[in-house]
Amino acid sequence: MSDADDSELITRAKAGDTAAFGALVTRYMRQAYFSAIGLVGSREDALDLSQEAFARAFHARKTIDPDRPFYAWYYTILRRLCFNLLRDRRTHRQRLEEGGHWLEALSAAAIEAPDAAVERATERAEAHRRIAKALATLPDVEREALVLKEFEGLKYRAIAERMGTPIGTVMSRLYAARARLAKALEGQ
Amino acid sequence: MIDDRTLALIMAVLDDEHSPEDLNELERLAAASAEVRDEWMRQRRVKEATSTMTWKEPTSETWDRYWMSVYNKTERKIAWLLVLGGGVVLSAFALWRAVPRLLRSLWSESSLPVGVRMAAVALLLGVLLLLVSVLREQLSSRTKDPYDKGVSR
Repeated sequence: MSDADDSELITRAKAGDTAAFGALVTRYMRQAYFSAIGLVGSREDALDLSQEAFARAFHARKTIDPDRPFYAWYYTILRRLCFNLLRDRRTHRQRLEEGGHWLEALSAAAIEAPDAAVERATERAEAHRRIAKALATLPDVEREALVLKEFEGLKYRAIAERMGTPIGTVMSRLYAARARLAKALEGQ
Repeated sequence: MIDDRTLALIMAVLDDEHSPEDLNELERLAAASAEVRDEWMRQRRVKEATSTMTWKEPTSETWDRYWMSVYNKTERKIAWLLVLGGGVVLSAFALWRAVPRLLRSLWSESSLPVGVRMAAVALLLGVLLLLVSVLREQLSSRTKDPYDKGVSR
């Protein structure tokens, strides 16, 4: 089952095969959770919303097109749930958890030689702390563009499709997000 | 003031989505303007910081329980749908049977105190008002939802 491609699993799920849908969930649960956490900035909410989106996807499975990417379709459901939560939070004046709760530095070995200067490591840790703090304060759509680019590693075209906006808008949102993070890095 | 084209070039170069011509153009612009150079460096510092950060992994139990939680949610949705569907039909039937009787007795029984009659009228008006208010709010939030545009289904 786990070797079957998405299209085959979707076709089976549409025919009522719950196990096939389960295989799709297992395949995309990490991506879904991390997409949600980038948007809502809270681990509990990300878990709940990503699962809720899968539950809604299951009920709407008859409308999935097996020839189109499953995750892109699922993301539209997840995105709507996340933005609804953010809107409700604004109403209740709640804030996102700081990025430090859901982001961490890559291990030093993965990014530089083991003999790298301690000073450089301290500098980087401080930069990470500031970035993580500033991420929570970014406008939602800017944070979404940045997360899709930096943490999901998508190309501009894929981000534009996910966000339903032109590539130029994606680039300007990325620029705006990075400009705010640059200010945070400079300690402003 | 840096123009939009230059900012787009900086983004494209940082994200490795540029052509050789883009890079040449940005290098030319940076050589000619200290402002462009500084902005490029600023953005590069952010890029360096974010590219050395990654997601914090939840515990392995989170993934072990994930599908079961989704399954429970779908099952509960179906259960709620059945409960609500049955409840709505039964309530409608009860109302259909009870309301005419209540109205008849309110109208014809002269022994009923005025307070009871007024309470019944207030209840009916209140329910109507609530219905109209909720419908209006739903309609206006649907037409003004700022996230609607970005989501296609």
